[in-house]
Amino acid sequence: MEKGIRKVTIILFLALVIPLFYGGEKAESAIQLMDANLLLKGSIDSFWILRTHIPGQERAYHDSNIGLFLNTAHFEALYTMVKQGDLTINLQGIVRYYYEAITDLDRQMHEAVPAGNRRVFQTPSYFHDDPVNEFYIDIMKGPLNVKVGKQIVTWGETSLQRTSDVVNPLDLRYGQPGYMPFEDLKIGLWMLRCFYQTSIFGEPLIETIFIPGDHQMFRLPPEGTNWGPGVTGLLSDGLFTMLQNCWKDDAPKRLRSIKNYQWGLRIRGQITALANADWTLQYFDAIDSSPVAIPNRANQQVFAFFTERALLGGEVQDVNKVADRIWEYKRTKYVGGTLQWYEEKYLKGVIRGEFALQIGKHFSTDNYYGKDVWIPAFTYKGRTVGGYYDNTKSLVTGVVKRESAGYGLSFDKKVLWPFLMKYNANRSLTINAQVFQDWILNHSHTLVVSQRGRGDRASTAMSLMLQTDWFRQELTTTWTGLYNTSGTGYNVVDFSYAPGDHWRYQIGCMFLYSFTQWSQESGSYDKDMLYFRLKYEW
Amino acid sequence: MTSLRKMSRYFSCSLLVSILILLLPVLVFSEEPEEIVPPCFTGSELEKVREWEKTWAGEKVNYQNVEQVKDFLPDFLVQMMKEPKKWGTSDLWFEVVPYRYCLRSKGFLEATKKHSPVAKLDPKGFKTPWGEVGPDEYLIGYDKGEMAGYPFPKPKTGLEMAWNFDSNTSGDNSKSSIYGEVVNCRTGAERHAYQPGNTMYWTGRTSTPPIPKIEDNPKGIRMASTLTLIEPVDMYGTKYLNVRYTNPRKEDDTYIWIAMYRRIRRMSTTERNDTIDGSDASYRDGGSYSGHINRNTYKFLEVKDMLACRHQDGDKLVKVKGQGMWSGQQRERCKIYLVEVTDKDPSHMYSKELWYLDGETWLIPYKECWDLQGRLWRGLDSQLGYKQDIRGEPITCQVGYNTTDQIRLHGCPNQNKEQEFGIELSPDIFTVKYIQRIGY
Repeated sequence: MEKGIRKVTIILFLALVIPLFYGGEKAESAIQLMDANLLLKGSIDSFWILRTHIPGQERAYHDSNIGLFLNTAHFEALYTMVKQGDLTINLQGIVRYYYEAITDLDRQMHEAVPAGNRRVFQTPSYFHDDPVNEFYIDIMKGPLNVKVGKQIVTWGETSLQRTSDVVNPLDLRYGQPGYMPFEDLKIGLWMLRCFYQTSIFGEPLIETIFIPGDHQMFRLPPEGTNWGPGVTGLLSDGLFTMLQNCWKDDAPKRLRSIKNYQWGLRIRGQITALANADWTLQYFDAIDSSPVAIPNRANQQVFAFFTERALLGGEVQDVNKVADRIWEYKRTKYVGGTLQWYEEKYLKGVIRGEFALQIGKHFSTDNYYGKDVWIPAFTYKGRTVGGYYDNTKSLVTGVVKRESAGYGLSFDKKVLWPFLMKYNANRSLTINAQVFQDWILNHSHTLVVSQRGRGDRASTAMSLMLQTDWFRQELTTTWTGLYNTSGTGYNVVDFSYAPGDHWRYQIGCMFLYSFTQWSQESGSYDKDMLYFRLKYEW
Repeated sequence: MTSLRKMSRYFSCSLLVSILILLLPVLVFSEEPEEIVPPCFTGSELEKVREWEKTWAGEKVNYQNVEQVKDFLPDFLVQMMKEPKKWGTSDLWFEVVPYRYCLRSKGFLEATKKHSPVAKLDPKGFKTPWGEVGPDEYLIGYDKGEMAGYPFPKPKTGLEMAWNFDSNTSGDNSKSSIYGEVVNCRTGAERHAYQPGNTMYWTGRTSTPPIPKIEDNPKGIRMASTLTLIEPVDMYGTKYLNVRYTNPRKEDDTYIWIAMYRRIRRMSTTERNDTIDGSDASYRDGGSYSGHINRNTYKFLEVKDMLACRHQDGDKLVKVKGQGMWSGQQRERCKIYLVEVTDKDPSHMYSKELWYLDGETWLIPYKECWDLQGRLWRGLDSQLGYKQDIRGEPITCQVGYNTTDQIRLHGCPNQNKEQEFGIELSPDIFTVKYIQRIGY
């Protein structure tokens, strides 16, 4: 391990240990100003990922096993502007600034991540990643509630996978579901959100969302970073970097055109007659956060990449775009709903479910069928001898529309297990079991679908989580296991320690596994890791 | 003629004297105990108490002299005071104050006079999802909101005393903020808690109109309460809503808005057995007991002369850092009714509880809880105080409380501050839609 990294590691280790002994100070949390009309709170935290194993070929691109070293300052403000009768107006803002340090400290990693992508990865340095994650004005009057500004919306009921929670795209560059909640991964969108509480039978709550042209693409981790494709896989040598740059360039320009609007409607209510259950129904008209390839152009772009890299010895930034637009973000629609029901007679637990039908989901098609591997729609293997693309041999052959349907079901139960209660001060054990399934209707082998094997029309994932706490909720221990029948999964063991008012410690491990060749080539199987978080919040 | 005049004069004087005699108790004793809610001590008993107070009133009781008054205190409290170092301090103490009758509001007394003569327990039992309500357990008219005030002002059984406890509505509408610490006495670490909340009763109302119930109550709500967590900081913005129904067949509906996940989550009843935010009190222990009366069986053990807080000045409660229990309580002699309580659910976290019920207010100044292994697990010391609602009517309520884990040596000294009673509250704030709207 390089000296610099060792020094930083020692400093941070001491920073972790010393507050354990001296960090138990009591102080006011949430600063209140202006007669408690302005509440300020925040946190600073340092999050590390330490990979347990780096494969031989990838070793050359790392000076150490530290995969991520993310330092974040988080600041929240809630200002009550007006509170008179039934009129309340609040201003809410959340600012988050971060610096990812390992891509500077680790020289090999520094070189492995292309410069432009590295800068964008390290800090929120361009418009798409502005530090203001949420900022909105919240007006409540009588039955009406209007929120205008940048917001994060939660429409789902389950965790680990999203089925009906479709409004905000995710930023997966620094973290993954499994050890981070979705709300920490979501990207805020500028929107107008209205709620109306009706007085009709059942008193449903009606919610509408209008997003006037603020489209955000999914953030995938860059090549060479911890969660990115490995530097030795299919998507290596800058190919994935080039694709990401194209995705970004081709994304609808944010807030520049009203035709990039998205809108949604949600109704929430309660059934009291048969079972005391909370339900929602929703509709969302969206622009997909992940694009599909325009066939000829995608093939030509890949050819241009290999011409530049393999034949001319250039870098990825020297690869020119063959057309203005290589990828397209298509419109799609979601119809779905959720249910939450406390079954008090037999199961004595809470059942949560969500379902969604995605109408008009666009997929790229290719002709690389017959092999049981997942490949992206842009590999170089379809090149003809003559050096140009023949449509019968090219990999991206077209774009089709399909429907897909899915559901997620979750069951939560707290049990009092006498054996455990002897040691953890009679605290309960939370058991959460979830199952997720989705199907692509009118599936065919030529469809390019990520995160599943070729020919897999359906995907099924199951998870189990066990959680309890100790020392009066100062220490929380969680185990989460997820298995996907297409051959992947993970186990996460997490310890979160909160001894006093401010300091928070988190340590855990995540083991990922893949049983099929395609899932191993997709680059996650070798990401087993330990992670640490040191946080101070106020 | 002369004799007639004499007779009429004599008659007038007698009449006048009679009227004076009748009026005298009203003139002199207008603040005195109401017969419908008898005082703890009268006559010679009261004289004995006053005699005892000549020695003890104003005295500070700590480890040096607690042995002399140990018969007036629960055992767990005596033990704690004898070993203050275990509880994070060199001295745990309280002050003895003179006995005073606990006043009740006019509305509450009128309701008691009106409803107690007709209070009856249902001879028919029935099944519920959590067990059985046996014959002569359920209060007739409770589900229709027809009962208010103490149903049994002179109770004979533990169940009747429990129904009296349940009838306390603390001004019907109230708000209060919990300020407290979760203290690990071994290490001295403290975690601060600040939780404002609101409570409203739909039935059994005695002071705040509409009386005795809110007519528009299709769901049969008995009471609802909200709690917002401001501190600890990682729970900031979390909101609880609990709705209890008059019908014991319906479980409480409990919802949490978890700010971190931006979702409203339902809670199961098992979660109600879990402690709140790492404290030593579960949701069930809120307000000494928060649950439907018929979930338990009750056995009246005895009535004892004890020292308890009934007119506590909240500002007198003091502690040092790392101390798991208040000092500065103001305890007075009173009659305490000991009732053994057992939850009908055999897997409930307490194998049994012992409620110490105040004979005037039927609130619970002390409670002891045993775990499933039969060990004394938790002790509750509740400081009841005298407040007034917005109309000036007297309210006896909890101004502070202290739960302690006797096995693991930690405590949660809490205070209820910013209390307001009899205020206007909208039923809307006790709905899921409201906590969804004010969440972010």
